[in-house]
Amino acid sequence: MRALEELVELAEAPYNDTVKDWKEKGGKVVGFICSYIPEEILHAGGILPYRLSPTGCTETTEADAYMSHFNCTFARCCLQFALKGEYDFLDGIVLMNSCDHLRRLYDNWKYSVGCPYMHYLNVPHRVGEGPEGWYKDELTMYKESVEEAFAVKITEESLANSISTYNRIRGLLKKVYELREREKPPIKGSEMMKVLVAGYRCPTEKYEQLLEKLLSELEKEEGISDYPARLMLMGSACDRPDFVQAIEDAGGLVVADTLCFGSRYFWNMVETGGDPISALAKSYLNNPSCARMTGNEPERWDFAMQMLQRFKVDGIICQRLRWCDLWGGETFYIGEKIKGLDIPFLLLEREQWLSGEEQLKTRVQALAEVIEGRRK
Amino acid sequence: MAEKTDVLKVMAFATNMMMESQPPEFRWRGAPLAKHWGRISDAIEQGAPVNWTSFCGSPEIFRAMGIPSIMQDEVGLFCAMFPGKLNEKYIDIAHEHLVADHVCSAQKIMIGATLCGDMPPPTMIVHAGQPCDSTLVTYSAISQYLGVPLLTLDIPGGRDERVVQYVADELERMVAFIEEHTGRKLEDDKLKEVMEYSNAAHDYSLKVNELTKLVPCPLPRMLATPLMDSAGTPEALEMYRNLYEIGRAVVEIGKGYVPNQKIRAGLFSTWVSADVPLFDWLEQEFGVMVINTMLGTDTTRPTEDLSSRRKIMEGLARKQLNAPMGRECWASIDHWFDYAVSTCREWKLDVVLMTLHIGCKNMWAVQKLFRDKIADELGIPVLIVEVDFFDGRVFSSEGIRAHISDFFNTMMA
Repeated sequence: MRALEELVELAEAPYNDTVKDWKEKGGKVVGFICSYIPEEILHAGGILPYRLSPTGCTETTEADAYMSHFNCTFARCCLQFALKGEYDFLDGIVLMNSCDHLRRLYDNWKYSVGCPYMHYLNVPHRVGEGPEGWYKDELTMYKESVEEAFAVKITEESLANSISTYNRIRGLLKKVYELREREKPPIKGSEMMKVLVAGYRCPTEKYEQLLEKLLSELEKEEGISDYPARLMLMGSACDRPDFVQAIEDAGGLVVADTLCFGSRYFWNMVETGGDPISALAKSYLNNPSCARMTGNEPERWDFAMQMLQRFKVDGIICQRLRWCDLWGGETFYIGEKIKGLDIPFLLLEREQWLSGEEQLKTRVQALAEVIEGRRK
Repeated sequence: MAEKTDVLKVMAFATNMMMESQPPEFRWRGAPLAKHWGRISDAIEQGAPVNWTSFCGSPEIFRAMGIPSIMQDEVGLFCAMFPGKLNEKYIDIAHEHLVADHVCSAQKIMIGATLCGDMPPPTMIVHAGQPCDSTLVTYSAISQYLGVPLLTLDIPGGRDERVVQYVADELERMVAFIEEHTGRKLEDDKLKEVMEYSNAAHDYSLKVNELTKLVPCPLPRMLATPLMDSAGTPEALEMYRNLYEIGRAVVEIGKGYVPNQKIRAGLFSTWVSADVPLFDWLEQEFGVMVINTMLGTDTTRPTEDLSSRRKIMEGLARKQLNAPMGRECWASIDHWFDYAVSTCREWKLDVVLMTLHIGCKNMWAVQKLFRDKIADELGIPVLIVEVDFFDGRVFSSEGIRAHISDFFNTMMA
């Protein structure tokens, strides 16, 4: 089986065979919610980090009773899965103050579902020495709680090894992305999203092997040439290959992104050689940022512009989850910045599940036509 | 070209309007707010520094540095009360500039007013990074748009001593930032003087709280506290002192301030500025007396130790962490539960009202947990009503009142 097919298979089931095998062998699995939470700590404790990504959730009846229809469907889908027992295989969860919705997901999970191990991280909303010191303390307490809950010892050495492992994964993902800089990218955006989602629910060593195989396969591909526009995705948390697929069906090829499930997750390496906890705190806080971070909006925009140039993007699609206030406010900033650029821009509002597909396609087609029209 | 509106004049006008809707003997309660707007207008006229801020800040520091601060939520509130429907105009402008329709309308009003030039830009934006995502993100965005310096205090969700120390550090960073951008220095003597006023007002505010716990309640409802923007001023102290003395006199007479107090209600959300007479209607129609409100009942403690700047910063940090809205929305629900349960008990509430704002995602996200906690543990019914505090177009007054009527008719049947 080709690596891409294997990765697609892993991405399609939340409780896939690799996670099942892990559990059957007595391994522990801990869910985490956000790209600001370092997986390295769990990995160093011999625990499988599992990023919550409610693939296949299409309704939130039970979760709506706890939250409300004014809350984002990503959070509601996570709660729905928890309430329906889809996450019963988890031995623990680690959540954080990502946003209003996910902060409250923790409260709801704690009182309405429960879990053998629950930890909450207070992640600063800005960068700088003070916040790095704070986050280092948070990560130290988190590490200690993992050690206590799972009776494991996380040494500096094991943590340094885990950082190296994840850095290799980051490097491989970046190489796959670099192939998308080509005029004929060897992988679609929707496929890339599956590759990424697979990694959030797969033992690291297995994922590393698959990525190496994928890279060698893709390097030999001729690539995709029949596309009208090269698009970049930005905005709210998006883990939905079907959403990207719908965009690509309408005529564009997604070649780049600034998403937390995408490039922002792996773009920067964690420093090695020093104190590993300090390195994690520094790196994760200083990664290309989410709209939850304040004071570094210009750097956030600069990252988007670097991606735009590097991947020779023709048009930008900013997607925001309905009720996501972080990106609901950030689009004001983005809208003003876009005015100074000569690039077509489309703002889409969406739910966690694919809906209004035809309307979405019509709008993307219109964007692609504008881009084609500019070429003539 | 569209005619400009002076938003600050609107604020002053709406303040008077609000006070005129109060019983005559309590109209003086608007004095701190009237002075607040006056200070801002004077500063703008003189070209002096003006700041924009949010709830849960530390107004004492700005007061000690002589820098007035406009609270964006207040602008939203008064624009919504103003008869000219300025709120709707500004909200629509914000939507045209890609602000999502679900972002809190308080922030959208401020953004819209700024974009059309009705609101003069501030010297800087220095605010607390709580109680919600809307506050956090819109201040960042507008500061970039205006090109004015921004400082967002990083406020963790916890409420322990480690958090107090971190927030105290953040306050010291804030002072350095203000000094850098205004050239003004924070003098320790002046800070101490302001803190003494603030503490004295707080002492009275806590005594007023005790009075409102009595049955019948000797004071009219207080929907918002002047301590959010006027802490540390003589007029805030005067207001609370008067309030306390009137309350005590009413207690001595042995009557409640509002006759026919059938039901004691706590409002665990903010009031509906798009429907100002709502709570008068509630009193008249059902005898429901709102005696405790999220923004009107300040339970923070005075800063007792004024011996050093650091001690003052720690005291102010504690206040910020327990300030209305931050208390409910930014910390874990356990923190809110503790507060809510003790409030229901101490104020002997018969019912809890939640006019829940569409923009307040974090309250909506735990509405069931909250309702179950209050209903199951205390046996107190909780009414949750969908509202948009600042935009009457989203949920009509008629619909809101019909919902409330159904609830109380059932409860009283």
